[in-house]
Amino acid sequence: MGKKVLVVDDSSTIRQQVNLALSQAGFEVVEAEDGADGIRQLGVHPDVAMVICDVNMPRMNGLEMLAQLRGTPRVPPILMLTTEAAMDLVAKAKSLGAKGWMVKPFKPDQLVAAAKKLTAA
Amino acid sequence: MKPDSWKRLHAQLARCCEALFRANALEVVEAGPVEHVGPYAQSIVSVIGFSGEQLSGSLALLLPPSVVERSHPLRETGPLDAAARHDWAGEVGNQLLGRLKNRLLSYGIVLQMATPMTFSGREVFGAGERHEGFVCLRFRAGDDAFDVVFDGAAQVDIALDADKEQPGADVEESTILMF
Repeated sequence: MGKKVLVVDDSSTIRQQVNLALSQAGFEVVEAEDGADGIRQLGVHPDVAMVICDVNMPRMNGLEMLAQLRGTPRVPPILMLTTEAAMDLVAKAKSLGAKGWMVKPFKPDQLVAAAKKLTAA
Repeated sequence: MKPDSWKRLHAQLARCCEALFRANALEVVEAGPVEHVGPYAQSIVSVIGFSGEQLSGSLALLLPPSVVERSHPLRETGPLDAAARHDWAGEVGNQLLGRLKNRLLSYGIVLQMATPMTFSGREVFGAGERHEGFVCLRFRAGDDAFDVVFDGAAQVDIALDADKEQPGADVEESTILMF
């Protein structure tokens, strides 16, 4: 099995699209539909090597999820994948520990390259 | 907001819509504003709200299922069920408002986006509002047509000045920043 990636997005289409791109590149993918579910899935799958996370989601958004994970041990690298492109949000995510920011729609080869880079360590 | 600023905003919306569908392999062309929304025999309606100190309102798309299917990122992986069509219609609303939001940043206008909701029906019809922040734009994609409805309310002193327009400074979708 390849390295495990958690995809957190309220759109099942986006989750499947990311899953397809990463699976074809050898990654194993698990999914969550919002930030709260994402935190729960990280507990279920402690071997997650990377998280890909949307920003605007119901219940708990991506930045709230980052804030909640901040300071907890063994947080995997997190790449934000969102329609948002405001630099203040990018800066906030960076300050909360995100390792990258990608604006939708994504190009599969770019996403795979980022996943390989962030899971290389 | 001045009438020419509304026109500029509505033009930005049209360009964002064409670019979004083009990024999903569907060429669409704005056919201009129309008086009434729909009706189409069958439609999936995607609605998303936005708020902000300068501008608030809602964006809705009235999409025939064929347009949703033709633009769906997973259209080549197999048949799409109703849940998949609804989810993508919601995501299209989300990404369209996201694009517009990012373009408006160059005018100093900041929006906060809600999350989308969708529903579907037959012969969905809507009468046009009669205020300057409202527009219903019709788009054509080959033999298909669909509508994008923008209903905005702004402070009167906001202006989308032409000299602030920065089409070359648009945020590139698929941009990736690594920290």
